[in-house]
Amino acid sequence: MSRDELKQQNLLLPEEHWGKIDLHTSVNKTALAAVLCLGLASVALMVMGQGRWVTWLGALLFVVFMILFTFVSMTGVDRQTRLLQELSSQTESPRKKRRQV
Amino acid sequence: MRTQHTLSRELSLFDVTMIGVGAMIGAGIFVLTGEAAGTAGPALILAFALNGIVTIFTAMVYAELGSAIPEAGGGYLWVKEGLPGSNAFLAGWMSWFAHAVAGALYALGFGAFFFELLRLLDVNVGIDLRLGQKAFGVGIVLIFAFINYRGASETGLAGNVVTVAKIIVIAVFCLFGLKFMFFPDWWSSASSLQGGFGASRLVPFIPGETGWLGIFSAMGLTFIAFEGYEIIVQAGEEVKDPRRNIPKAVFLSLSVVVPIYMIVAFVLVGASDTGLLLQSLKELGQELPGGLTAASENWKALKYVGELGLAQAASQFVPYGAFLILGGGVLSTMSALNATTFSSTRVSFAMGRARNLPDQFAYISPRTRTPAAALAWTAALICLMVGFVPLRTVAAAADIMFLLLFLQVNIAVITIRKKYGTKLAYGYLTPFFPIVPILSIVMQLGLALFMFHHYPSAWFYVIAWLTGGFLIFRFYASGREREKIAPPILAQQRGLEVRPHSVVVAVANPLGAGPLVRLGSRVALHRNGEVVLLHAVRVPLQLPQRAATRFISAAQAVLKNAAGFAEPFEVPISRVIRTGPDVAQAVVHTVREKNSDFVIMGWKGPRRRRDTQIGRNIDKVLRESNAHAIVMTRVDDDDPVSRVLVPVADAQNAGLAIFVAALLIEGSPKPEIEVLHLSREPLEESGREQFRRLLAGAISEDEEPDLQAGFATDFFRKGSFRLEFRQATDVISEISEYSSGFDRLILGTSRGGFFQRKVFGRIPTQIAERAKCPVILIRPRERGITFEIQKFFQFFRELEEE
Repeated sequence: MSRDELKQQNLLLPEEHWGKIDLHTSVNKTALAAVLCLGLASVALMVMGQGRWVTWLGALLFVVFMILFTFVSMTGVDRQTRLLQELSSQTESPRKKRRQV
Repeated sequence: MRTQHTLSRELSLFDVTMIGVGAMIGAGIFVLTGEAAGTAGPALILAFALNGIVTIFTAMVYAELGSAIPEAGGGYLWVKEGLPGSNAFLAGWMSWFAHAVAGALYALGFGAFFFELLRLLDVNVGIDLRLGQKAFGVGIVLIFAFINYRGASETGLAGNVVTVAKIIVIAVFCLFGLKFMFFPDWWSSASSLQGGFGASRLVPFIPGETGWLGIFSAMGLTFIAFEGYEIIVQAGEEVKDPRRNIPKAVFLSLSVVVPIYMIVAFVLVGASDTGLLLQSLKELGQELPGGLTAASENWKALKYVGELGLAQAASQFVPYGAFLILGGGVLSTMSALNATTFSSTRVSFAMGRARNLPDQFAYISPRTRTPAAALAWTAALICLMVGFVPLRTVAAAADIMFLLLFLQVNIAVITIRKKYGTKLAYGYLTPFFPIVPILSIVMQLGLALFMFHHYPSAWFYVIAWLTGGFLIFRFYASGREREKIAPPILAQQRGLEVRPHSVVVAVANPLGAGPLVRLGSRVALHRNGEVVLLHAVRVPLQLPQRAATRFISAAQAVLKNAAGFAEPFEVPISRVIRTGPDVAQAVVHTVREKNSDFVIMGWKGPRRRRDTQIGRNIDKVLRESNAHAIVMTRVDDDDPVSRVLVPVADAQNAGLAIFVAALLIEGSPKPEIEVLHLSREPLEESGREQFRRLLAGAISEDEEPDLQAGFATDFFRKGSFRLEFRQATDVISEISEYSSGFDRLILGTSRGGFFQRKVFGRIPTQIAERAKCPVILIRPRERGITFEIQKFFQFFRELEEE
């Protein structure tokens, strides 16, 4: 797929928006790092427990990790799409105003 | 037109999440869990958790690319965007095959469950299990092919119903299992079993016999079940608000599936009884494995019960457990088959659209707006596999192919970010970039290599499939793909005679066309070839391509004028007028289509631009077309050329330069070619003699015998050849000054390595800036494989925001 094809299929941002949203993630990195640490810790607990209660605590924490990971990532998606919407509304509003005039 | 219809956006967040969940809890739980438990023991829970971790890294990458480029094709399409050469074709080829294998596996699973269900209901179908499994498998493939044909919403609806039903079945299994583990006396018929949480079944958690090797094996065995996000992104073109919904569906489906897998493994190993499992093996008419007794660990018995392991376990502690799990297995395999048929179809559709597969794969039914032909072919492929292929071994190969596909996607996400920067509308951006994709690459590579240790035969299937794919790409797909992206031909007039060789002469305007066409005609004459005169009409992206038609008559006039210069040589002449936003692509595609040996272009002269070596278009032609290239600075003077200076650094590679020089002075009353050799230290007589010998060899026995540089030896005999040795520290100044008094200066790059070429590349342009006569730059053709390797690395070197 060439750049022209991406443009034809509206997958590229309009040229006036290029460079306006940087490539930094909207996911809360501190929260995500903490969640990933929880995931690794839960795996470590599963291994160390050797079938005792610590293993099952680890398994439980792993499930919590999956839920938190999904929550943090989905919040990032919402934030990022909101940014895109704001950007397109900024461009649209002067056009709308002009049309109204 | 057949391909004008588009797919319809009908799938909601719930639908697309269910597609992912349906695919992921299909075979994984019902078909593979028993066998995986036998491989890892109670640590199967850990194996699933680790697979979850490996998966979330790639899932983040899929969420990013799925939100930015939500097109049918998914991983294949992104690899096409982010990696060079045959990578994309192989990605699609692997993805299509792996999904089809997964689909066939699910269809056979369905056959087994359905047959067993009928047997339990005392329905006699009159055929044995093996045949019944295949017959029911083919039947269900055809049913889901029809459902997929009806449209995305029907596919989504059918998938949702089945997926929700199987989640309920699994929930019932887990609840009863947990109940049994914690309250073993709750169900009377199970009172004879050893129940209770903390029972010896789950200790030791990582058994000594299996250890970490068993855990990695189980990870490899069940990884196929975690590829649901590939199926989610395949639906990209049919999802409402894809920027938001695709990444969310990727994360949601994982958060549902990974815990389900862990709980099922916990219940399966924690609650099933070895004695009853062995008894069920006996009932199934299978041989009892030696050394296994009712006192053995249950996971050892689970390995032998295989895909019916879950059903047998359920019959021990769930009322009507066997019916329930067999019913659940039927539903699971159905929804997984639905999802894999869907994704396999989409990837073959995307390959058809990119002309990697025959055009009919890109056909969309105008009535249902689904890729009907791709679906038919995919269903046929799955049916074929159900009927004839030894699927257990091939399934491991499909696992490796998924890993390799994900690996490519993880590289592609890095290159796509570099290539498009902030121009793409991302609904999600991977955090900790590029650490996440790099970690993912390492983990997937590790797992794929580990599979070689455990399933060596699977790797042989992978290599065979990839080799087949590479050959198809090389001899079929690459040509069609090039045809698709080639700038359209506005007008064409073929030469009267077909010749084995051709020389493309790019003519931009009537000024300066004479020397280019005359040289091209002389080359064609000596090589028994034809001259292809090319004029490219540049149409900016903003204008429709039909805007170029108004320039046809002007272009024809340019080519008619150019053809006049070639007529005295009496060589066949073809004329081609192409249009497009990129002039260089017009030249590159003409050279490829004509399989030309030479390309000749004019040059406005050196310009100080940091991002180019000779000029933007010329650089591109030199990079992308593998032909002997001759680039001439514009000269208005059409007088015969008499004195040509050829500085030569490496005598062995001087053949092309001498050939061009000899052609230029042909017909001159006083021809003279001077070969200049510069060295930092004075050259001894022995060194000079060696240089002479090598040069003579290069002229008479060029590496490419058909170059016919040997005709230049006539000039040797006639005494028109001079060899000058000079000592110089500043090569650029020395050649520039020495060129005074010559009619042409020929500068070339040697056939050196890639890095040598890069370093040498700037010197000719610097000499050209200061030379005292018109300059001709030449670049010899590379050997095919060297050229391909150079192009591959060039792709990464040039990655920058376009």
